[in-house]
Amino acid sequence: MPWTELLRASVSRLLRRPVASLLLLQGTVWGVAVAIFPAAVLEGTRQSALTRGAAVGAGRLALVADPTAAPRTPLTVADLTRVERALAGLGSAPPPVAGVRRLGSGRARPDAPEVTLLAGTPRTLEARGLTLAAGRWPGPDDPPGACVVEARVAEALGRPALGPGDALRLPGHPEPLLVVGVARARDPALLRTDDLGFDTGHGLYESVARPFLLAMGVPSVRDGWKRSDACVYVALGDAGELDWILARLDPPLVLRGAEAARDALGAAGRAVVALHPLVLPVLLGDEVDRFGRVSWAMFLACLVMGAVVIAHVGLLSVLERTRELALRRVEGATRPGVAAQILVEGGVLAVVGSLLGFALGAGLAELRVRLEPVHGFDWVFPTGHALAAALVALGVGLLAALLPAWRAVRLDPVEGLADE
Amino acid sequence: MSSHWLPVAGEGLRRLRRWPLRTALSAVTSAVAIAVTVNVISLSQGLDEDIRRDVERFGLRTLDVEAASVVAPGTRVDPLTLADLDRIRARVADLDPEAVVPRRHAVGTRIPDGRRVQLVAAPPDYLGTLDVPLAAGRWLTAADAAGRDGPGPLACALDSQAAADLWPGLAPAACLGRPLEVRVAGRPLRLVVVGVLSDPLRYRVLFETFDSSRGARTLSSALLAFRNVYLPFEALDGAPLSGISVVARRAAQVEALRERLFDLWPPRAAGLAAFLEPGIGVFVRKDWMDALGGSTQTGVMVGNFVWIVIVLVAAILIATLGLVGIRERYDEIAVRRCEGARRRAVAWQITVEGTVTALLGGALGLPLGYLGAALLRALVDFPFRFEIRYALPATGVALALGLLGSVLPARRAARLDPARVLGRRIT
Repeated sequence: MPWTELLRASVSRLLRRPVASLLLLQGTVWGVAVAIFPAAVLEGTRQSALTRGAAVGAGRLALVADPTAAPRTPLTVADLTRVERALAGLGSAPPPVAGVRRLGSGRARPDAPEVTLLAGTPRTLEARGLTLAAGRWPGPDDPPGACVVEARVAEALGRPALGPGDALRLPGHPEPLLVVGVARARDPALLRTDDLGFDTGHGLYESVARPFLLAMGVPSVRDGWKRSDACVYVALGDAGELDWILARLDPPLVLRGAEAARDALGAAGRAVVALHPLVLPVLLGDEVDRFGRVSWAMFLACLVMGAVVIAHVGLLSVLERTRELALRRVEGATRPGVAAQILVEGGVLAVVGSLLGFALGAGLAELRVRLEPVHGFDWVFPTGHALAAALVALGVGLLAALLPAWRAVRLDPVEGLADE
Repeated sequence: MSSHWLPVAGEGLRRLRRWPLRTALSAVTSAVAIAVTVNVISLSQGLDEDIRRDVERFGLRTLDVEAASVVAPGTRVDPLTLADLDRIRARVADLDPEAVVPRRHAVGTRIPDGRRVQLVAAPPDYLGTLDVPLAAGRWLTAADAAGRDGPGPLACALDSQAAADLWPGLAPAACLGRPLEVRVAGRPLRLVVVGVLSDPLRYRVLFETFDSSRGARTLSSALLAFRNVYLPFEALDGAPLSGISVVARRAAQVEALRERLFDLWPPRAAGLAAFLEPGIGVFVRKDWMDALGGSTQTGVMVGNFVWIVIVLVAAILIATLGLVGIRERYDEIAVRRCEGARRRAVAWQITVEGTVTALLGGALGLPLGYLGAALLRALVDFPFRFEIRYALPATGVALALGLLGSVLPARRAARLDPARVLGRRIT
């Protein structure tokens, strides 16, 4: 029988009894799926951190006075300079670093978003990851009260729109303000993400992630203004106290940057808390090797489990057919012909099982990503792992088919049929 | 009953021996499934229990009065003073706690390399707030405090991780007697190491991986990071107190002490919410431990998604392999029924076969799981392990699944009309 004919026969045999086929295939399907999906999530998230790092806010760093230190010494503009110096040497270009002081907040109506007035140093927008849609940052020639507004300020104040040149009065703030710049609206997913990289809107954030972080000693942070898109910035005029020092680094530099900034502030006797995404930068550092190895060990364990099952199922599927094969021999099929048929069927089982396994693995990866309250988790199809898993499935499937095939072929057809 | 049962069991065993390859494969499959299952349970459940036990060593009977770890710039929090210490002592005196211990925190830098060190100045009974033994040397004594005014260096004790950071690769005993010079609040301080505390956390790597810089932790939550350098209380004289710990004599006393401390600092919110209000508050370490234990368990569930899927897969495989195996044997069952075997006997025979195979698998799976865990541990630095105490339930589950995988299809097979099964083949 020509190969194409054998292939068609194998496929139609699979399709003829879909339930039985699925039972036969499921060993391969699970084996392949479980083997590939951890790698899919690890690699996908790593790539997401590398390529979309800025978009998912993986490079943010926020420094704030330690609330449990006594006495609690506030940060100053001198501390900002210390942090700038400490971060300047890390990458090729000095990253944007800014100091911010919260001046107040209020609501125009009880149900309106809260507007927060902040005083910031010149690189505040960059350090906050904001870009200007129109206008500029307040300069030295601007009148006092010149400000930049975030995208939702107009809505929060019940105004149709705000643009450069518009006058502004904030609830609870007597001084009139003049808009000189308007920031672009941010991506909604990014707006839900806190400084630690967690999606605060995720279903598992309040119930799982937050209690865990609190228990691990991570402070609770009142920084809802960062996620409001309703802040108004004026230039920080005096050399006074700062509430926050903010920076945007290359995501792979975040861990080192946080350490360097804390060292620089520690040398000045400042106890600070450094908030930065906890997961994505780790995936870009050396620690990921450990996870790579754990994932690899898991891949290996899954392959072994999958291989045993595939061998088992392969063996059963051929044993079941001793009689059918004997019949085929009686019908005049040659030994190599029967062997080829069994091998092709084993191959088809392995290939179809692997393909279904890829789909199931992708589904598991998607589920895992959705369960993760960390913003920036993603999955990609792990071609290398998938290929390896499929090859193992094929190899084991063929081997498992070969042994009983050999037996079946050698069997005298008369004996095979007389079994009953 | 036994007269019926024995021949049935005998037939089942004979059949297993007649097809050794098939029996071996079934056994290996359930062995692998059992090995994986026990490994997974050991890894997540055992790890969680270990973490709870380890965390308890941070002081099961200790209550803390300190600033809540809430970052809310602009909120004013008056620091604790020595007067507060006296108020606490007076309020709890009749309950006779084991100790009332003040402490001061400071951030210093090591001279000359500028490395940041966390300093904790506390009186000798501070060690009683923890349940951590010394890895080497001794703890600070009242005599060490007197050394502050002397010409020599001041005695200090280190957490194991502080020692590992300061002198990487050095054994705790080798750190004893080492000089350490730090600058704190602008003035240099000459220290000498007299003791090193052992690390209460067996799986530090798990705690540090996602917070390797420990940047997000506050001074008072630095317990977990275990990187403190301890000085005599008087070494940071003049600074306000960062916390006051009260140690109960018995676990049962903790509640009474909490109520007394609540008289001085009324609770601002119930449960977890108390951790979300800025200001001085009363924290019971046991609550924190329970929270940590509870959340690691949930975290383990989400984090170990991969492993849970693997266990489910193993279960599905065991259950359905029985099904596949039996579908293949409809003919044989039909023939046996024609020979006069009763339905019940046929079902029993298949059940015996399934059970024996699952048991064989269990016997094989335990050493296999042990070897697998050892192999994985050697390959990667991760606490893979195989605990025999989880082997029994896992084997039981595998057995139950094996039974489920054979009993149901066996009953179905036994109920089939033999004439129809065999008739289908002949046509």
